[in-house]
Amino acid sequence: MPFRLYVLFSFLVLFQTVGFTQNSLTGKVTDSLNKPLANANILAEPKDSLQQIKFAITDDKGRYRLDLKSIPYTVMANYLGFAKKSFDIQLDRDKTQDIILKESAEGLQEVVLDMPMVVKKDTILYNVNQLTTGEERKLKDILKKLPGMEVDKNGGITVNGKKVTHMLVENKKFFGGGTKLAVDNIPADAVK
Amino acid sequence: MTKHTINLSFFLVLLFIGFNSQSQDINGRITYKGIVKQTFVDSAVAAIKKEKISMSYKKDIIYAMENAHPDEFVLSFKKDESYYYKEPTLEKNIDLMGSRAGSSPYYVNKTLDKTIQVTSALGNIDKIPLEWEITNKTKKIGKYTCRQAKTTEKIYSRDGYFLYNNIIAWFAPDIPISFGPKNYNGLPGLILQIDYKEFTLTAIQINLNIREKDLEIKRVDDIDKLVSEKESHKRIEEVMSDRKKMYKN
Repeated sequence: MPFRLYVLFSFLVLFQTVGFTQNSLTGKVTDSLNKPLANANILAEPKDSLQQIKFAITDDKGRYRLDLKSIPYTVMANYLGFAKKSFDIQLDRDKTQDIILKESAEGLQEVVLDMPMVVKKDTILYNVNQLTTGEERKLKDILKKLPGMEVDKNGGITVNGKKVTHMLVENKKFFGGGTKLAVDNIPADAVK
Repeated sequence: MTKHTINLSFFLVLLFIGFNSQSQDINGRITYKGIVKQTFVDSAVAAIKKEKISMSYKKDIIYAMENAHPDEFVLSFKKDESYYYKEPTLEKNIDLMGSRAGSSPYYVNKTLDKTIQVTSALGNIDKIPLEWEITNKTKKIGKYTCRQAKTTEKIYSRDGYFLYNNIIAWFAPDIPISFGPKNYNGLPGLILQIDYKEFTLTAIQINLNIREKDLEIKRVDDIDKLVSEKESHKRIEEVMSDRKKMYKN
């Protein structure tokens, strides 16, 4: 019996020293008219990058809850069409903090975010590095991953439905300009 | 006096219209491209080469695998709902292998806290929410700095046992929408890339605040008729054992 007590006691001591106590940060996210914002995103990033990042998404009444260690965090609240808001916090006990977000002008109009490609009149420029994973072997493996571009069985290339008839490498025709030889033979890492 | 009230009511109407236009629901449409991983193709081709089947048949299968075509998927969301589906495969690609990123649509309702996989064989499956862990890794996709999140998913294999798959998601905190492709959602930012054992799914186009008629959300209404993931696994098991019996006879 005394031995058990001793074990229990040593465990308690261990937890006190090793484990951080967790405190909860709760509150409501609203707009400037006090209307709750549901599905707002909240991210708590610890200043010490080795510590766990915490996050929360507000419920239909705009409420959130973050369980944080007693270490410094930067808390960021974000909602589409509203300006981002962030603050620093270190919790020693449970705390309630309401967050008010202000609407930003850019929120309401239509936004089209094309991924890493730039369309200039008759030219499409791709930023290949951002679209590939480094696993590609031949040129065709890269081309397949570019938006709007397709490579068929016979090595023919179509861009947005239009067939590519000539292929230039460094501004010169590659073996007569056919696409099949090029897509099957040029190594992927030659494309920058 | 009457003139005053008319003026006032006119003003109130104007004010009301003003407020209404402000409370437009956020919506958007995201296109994802699914691509099978080269490592998967290589191992599958190696496995096929060992199989004892006719040479011409083998050749066809290997051809279909090595020339796998990418698939496109569309995620539409509005307010607290999202719907994700696969764009139909082009006719010329029908004999080839696809991205292996699945073909069933998914419906998500944040208010009801449901992620539903829509299948014809097993009914509408109520997916178990995923527990994400955000790491400190970041990378750029397009102009967005994405954060990495990890989770594991329990998968029922065709051979009749469970396995766990690791999933890596790259999400953009700058696009504060907690939706994503398939049953992957609930992160503090739109998921721009999913890295799965067999495939990757990458966002190639993001349209926000579009006309309502361009959104395609097929709502699953009978929430009380959902099949749990456990039940769906049981059903697969039943079908498999029936099939085994049939082969024996």
